[in-house]
Order: sequence, then structure tokens, then C-alpha cells
Amino acid sequence: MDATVSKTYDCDVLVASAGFTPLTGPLVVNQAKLIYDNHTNFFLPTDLPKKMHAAGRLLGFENAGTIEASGHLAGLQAAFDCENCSIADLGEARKAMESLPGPARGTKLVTAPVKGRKAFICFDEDVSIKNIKQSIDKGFDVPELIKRFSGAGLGPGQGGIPGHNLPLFTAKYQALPDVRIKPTTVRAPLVPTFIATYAGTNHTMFKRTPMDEMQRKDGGIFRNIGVWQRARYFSTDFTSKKEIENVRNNVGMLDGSTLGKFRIHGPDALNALQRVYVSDLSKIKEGRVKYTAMCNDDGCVIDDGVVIKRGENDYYFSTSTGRAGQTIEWIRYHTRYENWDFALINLTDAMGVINLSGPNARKVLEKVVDIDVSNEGFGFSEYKEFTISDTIPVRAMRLGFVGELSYELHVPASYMKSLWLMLKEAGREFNIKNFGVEAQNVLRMEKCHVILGQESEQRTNLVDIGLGFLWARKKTGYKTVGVAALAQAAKDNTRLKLVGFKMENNGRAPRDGSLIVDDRVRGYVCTARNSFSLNEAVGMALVEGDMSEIGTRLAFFEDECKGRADLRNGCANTVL
Amino acid sequence: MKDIKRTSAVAFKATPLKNQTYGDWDVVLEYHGEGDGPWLVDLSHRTRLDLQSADLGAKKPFGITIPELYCQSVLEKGMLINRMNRIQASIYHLDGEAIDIPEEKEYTDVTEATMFVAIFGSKVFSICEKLSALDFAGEDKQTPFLFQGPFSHVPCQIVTLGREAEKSGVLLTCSRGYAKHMIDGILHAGEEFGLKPAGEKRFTDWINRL
Repeated sequence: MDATVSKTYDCDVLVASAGFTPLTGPLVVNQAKLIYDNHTNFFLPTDLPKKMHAAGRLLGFENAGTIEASGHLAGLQAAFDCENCSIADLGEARKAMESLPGPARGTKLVTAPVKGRKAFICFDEDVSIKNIKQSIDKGFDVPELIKRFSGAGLGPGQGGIPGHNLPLFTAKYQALPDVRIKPTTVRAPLVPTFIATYAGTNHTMFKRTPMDEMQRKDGGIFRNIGVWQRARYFSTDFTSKKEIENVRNNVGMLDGSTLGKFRIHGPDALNALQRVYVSDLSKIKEGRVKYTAMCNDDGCVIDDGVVIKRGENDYYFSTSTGRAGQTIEWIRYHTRYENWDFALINLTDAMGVINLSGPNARKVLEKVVDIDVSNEGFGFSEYKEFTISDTIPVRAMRLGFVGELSYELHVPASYMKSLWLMLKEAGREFNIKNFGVEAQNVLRMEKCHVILGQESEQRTNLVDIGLGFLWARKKTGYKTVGVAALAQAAKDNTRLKLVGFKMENNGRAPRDGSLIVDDRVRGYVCTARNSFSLNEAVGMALVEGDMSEIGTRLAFFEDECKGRADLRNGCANTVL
Repeated sequence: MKDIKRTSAVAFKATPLKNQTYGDWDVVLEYHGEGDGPWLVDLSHRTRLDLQSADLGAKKPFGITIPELYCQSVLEKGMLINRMNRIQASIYHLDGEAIDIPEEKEYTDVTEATMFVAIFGSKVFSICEKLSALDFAGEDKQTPFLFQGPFSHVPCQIVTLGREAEKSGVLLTCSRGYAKHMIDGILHAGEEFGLKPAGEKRFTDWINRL
């Protein structure tokens, strides 16, 4: 093409092939030699390796009949190599070729005839003729050097166009005799390889709890939650009504193994804890559980959990599931300028957790353990270590995350299956049932217990979400992360506040994330569900401070409101 | 109570031929059809300890000197000790009867925290390079040596115990929760090389030959 002819086509689609140059790559990487052919003006293969045969454009043919005949001949030659073709057949095919037109004379043109304008030799890398001249003038005077200096032919198309034109233009520009013209080296891979191929198979990599197999057998429906796969439901009723009611009225078991669990020990272990936790942990008594929280430098809550003192300078603490992977770095980062001596060990996967919850939880537990689990013997917020059947070591906490009598049993992961089966056996007479993450979500919501990330966000601090009671304001000397910001923001009534609400007129629960509006956006729903315990829809929302007074009516906006916040029945609500 | 058992996070779809009780663990010594290697052996029942101390150089766990170089390991008396950083070493019990864990507070039993497998046999590094960019056969290091990095995208500790032909092999630990998917990934990567699950006897024979 010399860009001087115009043609009009009546068509729907025009498919153009710009491949004028014979694709000799597969031959070259198999050690064939290319030599510049003065007649066709292409590099054509010679010295083909044994049992390799070329045909068509590779030999410079342009006539369709010749191309077809050369393909037929090459096929027969290959068949002959495999002892599946006679010499006579080969002779006939060669004879047929002789009567057909040979290679056509090619154009000597190696650059576009665009006098005075930019002409490219490599479209992939935007290398123009001018760039090639510059390269040669700088001393990079052979195609292999020009290629590397200018980038010509190094793009996705590799040597497609510049592999042919670059050596020819170089020879022409330097007035070299054609015998010196050599193509640039073609190397594998001829076809670009997907990066995914180099990366390898993308295996699914999620964590499973020690109770994974048992829960699947019990009909657990799993969801990917962070790095974990967790049983979210135990029936196809995704309201989890039966699971919730079973915990409220009877006893249920939850696999809480995904909680972060850590040991911190050493002379400065308490200093490190005091640095990151807002509570005063120097007051922890052995045998007690201390619920506390961590904030970032802005005073925003990033984690909550419990801390237990197991011995002198030796603590066991838990974090939320989502923060477990960052906790060690967080503590090390915030103590990096102190020459403190403490050690941190991540025991998240080492300890499985069973949450035994419900009014009958005590009756089940006392059948399995040898200790006194009465209210007097094992009170709220107490911590005990004991063994079951002199074998399974248990770290037990009496906590109430779901608002019922609850025991959190931390046991070595490899014993989890045994303990799970023992509890199921002990609970058989009470018809003990599993409950999943969704049931737990509703149960704790009914209690107004926050889940960080769900009832908090980047802007909300400890006080905003009602956890100000954890902050030991008189604790000084530890440079606790976030307390300076908390002190400044504590009395700011314009901040978002976490409130509980219930629906009026027996309205359904708004969807999580629904906006709270008046003449503008004033907040949003964090979690809302139809409460089977209360027989009405309730939830928690973050709203601007002036809307957080008890009795305030809130209006929700959902997609189907079509811009009118008051369209839906029962969308006005009351701060509890 | 005889029903109380400890369960490994690693489960192979292979038929055990010989078993042995190891504490509350039921350990498979040999599987049916283990093949000619390479092999994958579950060592989850073997004790692993974490040792952290500001004065780590002064510690001699089980009478063994901790290597001074980070990521250098030492294998003595069936114990493998890996220097992780300035203050931390990991300790794997590889051979012999169950050990008593030192009473000093600096030691933490992390046996339950991780899955623990050995991959060994002549093609082990071909398998590993399908799952990690780390060079477990690196000639610039003296065996045994430790890597702390990704294997099948999961943070792991990987120790190269041998890199010569049939003695080639690595130990791998990662968070216990990843066991199922990690084992699936390793077996899938090793399928073309004939990787098979094997019992602990195969592992013991291997480390005794190192």
C-alpha cells in the first residue's frame, strides 16, 4: 500500500490484515535461517531444519493457486517424513507447482511516502524514521543495537513490521550493500503469554475453622467473611428465626474460632497494652475478663476485645476477627520508639472458640466440666482455666455478647472436634442447636452491642458509638493511642452518634445502609432487622448529634422511596 | 476419656495402612500407594515452639545454639531451630518421642497455631516454584535455611532441609486455618510430578538420611 489509492466498500464490517510481511517467526525459533531476497524484498527462509517445510507467503508467493499448491506440497513432504507418502506423489505435487506463478516482485518501499511528515517504523513503540536516523547518528548503526536503543520492535507486536523494515531502512540509510542486510533476531515466545500463566493457578485460599467440617455436616451455609469461611446460616430461612429463638429460649452453640487471640508477655507487656488499649489494664485482676477497645490516632475505634491476665507480665487477649491479622504490627508500630521488652504471639488459629449461649447453657456445660459453673462459682466477667476429662485444656470466659447466659470456651484447635461432640451430646436432652453468624448478628443487635465496622466507620470515635465508658480518663503516662483526639472530640455534639431505633406502625426493618434524611442526609442505618424477640423491627443507626435525643423521629430513605423520604409507611422512627 | 482425640487440620484422601497413637493424635505411618516420590507428609502433631527474648543469643533451647544469622537454621538431635529475627526463633520437633516444653515464659507452644507439612523428593523444587517466587533451592545459602514469605499467596515459614537430588525437601508451616486450601494447592501443583501423600515413616527415613 502506498496510501495513494482510495476505494469505497459497501459492507457492514471491514476486516483488514496489515500482515504484509511473511510470519517467519515459528521457522526462525526452530533454527531456520532467513536471507534477504532481492526479488520479493522479503526475508525468506533457507536451510530449513530436517522435517520442517514452509509454504505460501513464507516462500514469497502471492498467487492464491500457488499458495494452495505449496501448502499441498508441504503437507505431502511432512507425510513423506512420516513414511506416509510416496515419492511419486511428491513428484506430482512438485510438478504442479512448476506450472504456477512464482514469487511476485516486491516493493522496494520500506517507509511510508509521507514527505515532510512523521513516518513510523514501529507503531507499538512510537518509533519514527527520525528516531532511527538519530540512533544511527549516535553510533547505534546495526539493527540489533538500534532496536535496543530506540525500542523499535520491542512492543507487543515484537518484530512484526520493524523486524522487516528496520534492517532494510538501516541498509538504505547507510547505503549498505544488500548482502549485509540481516533481520533482527526473533525469540520465543512468539505469542504474548498471559501474566496469569506466569502467576500460576489461582487457588482458592480461605481459612477454615476447626469446626468447619462438623458445621457443614450439620447443614451450615457458608460465606466468605474476610479471610475466613464461616457458617452464616443453618437453614435456608435467612432470617435465622429458629436459630435466634433457640438461643433466646434454650441453648445454642456458635463457632467463634475466627476471633483474634494473642499472648503478650515480658517485662513491658503491660506498658504495650496500656499504649494501645483505652482502658486502664493495670487494674485487671487475675480471674477476671476486661472488655476494652483500641483507637487510632484520631480516637476512632478500630478494635474491641477482652484482656485476661494469666500471670505476672503474661496476658491473653482477643481481637475482632477482622483485626487479627494486623494486631501485632499495630502494637509493634505504636511502641517502636520505646525500648520495651515484650513478646507477642498470634494464637488466632491455635485456639478454637465455642460460644455456648442461652438460658440452658449452664445446664449443658455443667454436664461436661468438673468445676462449679453456678452463678456464684462462675460469675459474669469471670475467667477460669480447667481441663475437661483431665485432657482438654480450656480457657473459659463468662461473657454475654448475645445478651444471654453465655460461656466462651477457648480450647486448642485440635481438641475442638472432641469438645464440640461432647457439648452436642450433653445438650441433646435440651435439643441444643448450632447458630450461625447471622443469628449472632441479630442477637447482639437486639442487645445493642456494636460490631466495629458495622456500627462504626472512619469518622466515629469511641464516645460516638457509646463505648466511652471503656476510656480510663485518669490513666496517664502511657501515651495511649487516640486519647488526645478523644479528649478534644468528647464534648462535640455535632458528631455522628450511634442510636437505637424501632419502627413505627409495625413497619419492616430498613435495609442496612439506608440513609436517614430530613432536608438532607443526616445519617444512615448500620444494622436493622425484624426482631423475633421483640416482635418488631429494630436497629442501630449513626445520626448527627442533634438527632440523637431519645424520642427523635427519624425518616429513612431507600431506593423505592423515589426521592420522597416519607413515602413508605412506617419509615418514621424513634430513637430508643 | 478414650473418645477424646486431637484432629489435624490436614486430611488426605488416601487410605492409611499403618497408624500409631502419639499422645491424643492418631498418626498415619504409611499410606496405601505412596508411589516413588515426591511425597507430602502431615507433621501437625509434631511440637512447634515460639521463642522470643530480647537476649535471644543467650538462649540454648534443648542445649542447641541458635544461629546468629537471620533465616539460618540448625538441625540437631531431631530439633530444628530457625532464627527468625533479632528476638525470635521458631523451634520444630522433628524426630523422636514427645518433648517436654521448657518452663521459661519465653517459650510458647504454637503447635496448634499452624499446619505443618514436609514436601520432599527429587522434584520438590519444581513443585514449589509453581506456588512461590521464593528460591528454596538457593545455592547462596547453607542448608538448612528459613524463608518467611508467601507460598500460594499465604504467609508461611518454609525451611529447606536438603537440595541435593533425592535429599531435596522443605518443611512448611502456615496458619492452621489455611490447611485445607494449602494442601489442595500443593497436591494440585505436584500432580504432574507424581506428588503423593505419605506417612510419617517416609519422613523419618528422609531426615535420617540428611
